Formats: sequence, structure tokens, C-alpha cells
Amino acid sequence: MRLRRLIWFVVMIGIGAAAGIFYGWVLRPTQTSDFALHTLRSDYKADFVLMTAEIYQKDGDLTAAISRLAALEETPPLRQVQQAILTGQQLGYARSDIETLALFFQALQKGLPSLTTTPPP
Amino acid sequence: MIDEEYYEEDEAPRQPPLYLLTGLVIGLLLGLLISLVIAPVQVVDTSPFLLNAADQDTYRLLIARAYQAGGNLERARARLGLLRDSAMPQTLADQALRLQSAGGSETDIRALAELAAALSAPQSAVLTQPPGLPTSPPAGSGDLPGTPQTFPTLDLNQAVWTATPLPTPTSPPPTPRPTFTPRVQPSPLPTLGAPFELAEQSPLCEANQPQPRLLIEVQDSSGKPVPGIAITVAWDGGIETFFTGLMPSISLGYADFDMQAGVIYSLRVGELSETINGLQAPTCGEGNAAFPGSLRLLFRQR
Repeated sequence: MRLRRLIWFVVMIGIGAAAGIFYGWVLRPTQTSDFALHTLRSDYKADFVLMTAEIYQKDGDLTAAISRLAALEETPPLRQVQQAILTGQQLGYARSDIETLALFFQALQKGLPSLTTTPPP
Repeated sequence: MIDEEYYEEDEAPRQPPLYLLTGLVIGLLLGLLISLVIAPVQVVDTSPFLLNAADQDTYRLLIARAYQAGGNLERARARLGLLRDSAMPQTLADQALRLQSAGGSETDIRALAELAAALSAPQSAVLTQPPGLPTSPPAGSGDLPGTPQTFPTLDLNQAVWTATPLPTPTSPPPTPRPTFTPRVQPSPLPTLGAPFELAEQSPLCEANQPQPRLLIEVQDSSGKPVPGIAITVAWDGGIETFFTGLMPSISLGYADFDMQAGVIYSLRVGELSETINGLQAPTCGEGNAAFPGSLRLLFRQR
């Protein structure tokens, strides 16, 4: 009798745990629309970087451009632009867009020389 | 005796199985602890419309600034479409107002106002090519980068042909593809630097309007309303800057300002225009029925 109770007790714990995990991993994420910029899909991120490059091309404000990229994610700006160029090439961006990104990358390289080299481990 | 035995034997199985409920609650708490605290789900590959409100603001502002930089309305429209907002011009105008009240950057406020105004403008007016404008194409394609362009009603006379190679690593050598690129869109923005002058000034008596206001309309030299123009109002002890185009439902060149009765204001439209001094709320009515009215000002570009 006592063993049977113990078994059912453990089974109920398992059922409860499964329900809690299902809520936290499945239900809650699909019900929420409260995500941050860094969760965006890579093509949206690439477009975000492209917009930043377009603005930089117009105003030449590298500091503002870097702060915009920092709002997107914590990855170093140069890496973000590199990734955006790769994504843009895969998605068939127009040549002018790739050039805009490339020019932005060069400007970042000049403006951020310390970030062009990988720091020693 | 019989009764006692009866109760002793029958009461025990009727007790609710609390141990089961306890186990369920413990399990549930354990599951929530695991899924929300110890190993929360890492969300990736979301879309812009799922962003939180602050990041949607950031995204919208970036689109507005990119539009301001490149002037490509179709691309801005496509980008804004990712946010799935059916009332986007109003959302942009609201954001501009919020930014203005929070003391945000004038450039950002202007960019939001300009984009709100451009989206509110009739599409036919945007796509029409008036004579005399430069014919060079805009820098980017007409849609989101990487997505097919659709301009079904575009006339060949309004289009230029550009080759757009696709440098995909796995694809065969890039073949130039002809794509339609709309010619530069006429912008409702004024010629930069051209000053505005006061064309009309008239009192407006509205008994149902408790607060006297400055109602300002800014037009270009041809009489079209101009959005995104900074208007600076100064009075003894204060100064405020706001922009036209934040209320596109009234007019793209419209802006208003709440006045205080008896206070004298100075006003300047744009950066190079002359300052208009001595503005104050007019008195409407007579005697006990007198009330402060509003002032309507029309500025036109020289």
C-alpha cells in the first residue's frame, strides 16, 4: 500500500514537472511578443546593419553607427558587418547594398583599429 | 460497536488523495524552475513584429533614419511592413511626439515626421515624376534587399534598367538580371535652406476651444504642405521646438502649439527664416463673453 502511494507520488511529480517544462519551453515563448533585437533572424539582422550603413553613408557619424550596432547585439561591430555582408551575398543583395556594407566595414576598420585583430587568448 | 467499526473502516478511503496533489504541485514548481530559471528557452530567429515595444521603437527609428538618408520610400515601406502595423503613419507620428516630449534628437524627430508624412501622402503623388527633377535612380532597390521586386504598374518610361548580379557562392557565375528601379521620387521636402515667410495671419475664434492655440501651416512655394520643418516658439521664460507633419490627418504641413492668454510669443519656421515677434492670443467676443482665441499662421517658402 505504502509503496503504491510512493510510486503514484513520484508519477505525479513527473507529470507536474512535464507540465511546468511544457509551459516554460513551449507555451510561454509562443504567447510572448516581447523579444529583444538580438533574437532577430539573421536576414533581419543583416538588414538592420545595412540600415546602419546607409545612415552612416549619409551622416558619417561612426560613433552613432557603432552605438546602433551595439543595440542590435553584443558582438563586435566589425563581426556584425562581416556577417551582414555574408548574409547579404547569400540572399542576393544588390551590388550597391553590398558596397554600402563594404564601405561601412572599411570605415569601422579605420575607426576601430583595435578590433581588427583578434585579441590573444 | 458496529457503528464505530463501520466508521473506522469506511472513513479512511474517503480521504482525498492529498499526496497526489502535493506531488503534482511539487512537480509543477520543479518544472517551472527548470524551464524559467535554470534552463530558460533561448529564443532565436524572431521577426521584427515580435520585438518588445522599446526595440520596435528602435527599429522604426532606424528605418526612418535610413529613409532620410536614402530617400527610398518603397524600401522604407517594405521594412515597416515587417512590423505589421496597419496604422504606421500614426505610430510614427506618435513616436515622434514621444521622442519630442522626452527631449530626443531633432534629427530623429524630423526623420520620423518625414516618414510619417511620406507614408500619408497619396501614393500616386509619390510615384509621379514631375519634369525637371534629376533622373538618376535611387541608391538601393525598391524593396527589401534580397526580396523580389514587384512594380506591376510601372511604366517603362518611368523606369531605368539596372543589372543586379547575384554573387551567391553556390550559384553559377553571376548573370546580370534586368530589374525595374523606379526613378527618383519627388520629395515633399523643401529645398534646403530656402526660408519661409509669413503669408497669412488671421485670428480664429472658437468658443468651444478652451485653450488658445497657434495653428501653423507650412507650404512650399507651390502651395504644397511641407512636413518635417522645425518650428521654434519662444516666450518670456521658455522656448519650444516642434515639427510639422506630426498630424498628417490634418495636413502634412500642419503643427500647433498651446498658447497662454496674455503671453507674447516669437516664432520662427525653419532655420533661415525671419523671426515673427509679438504673437499673442487675440480676444474674441466682447464684455463678459470675451475669450482668448487662436491664431492661424500660414508660412510659404520663397
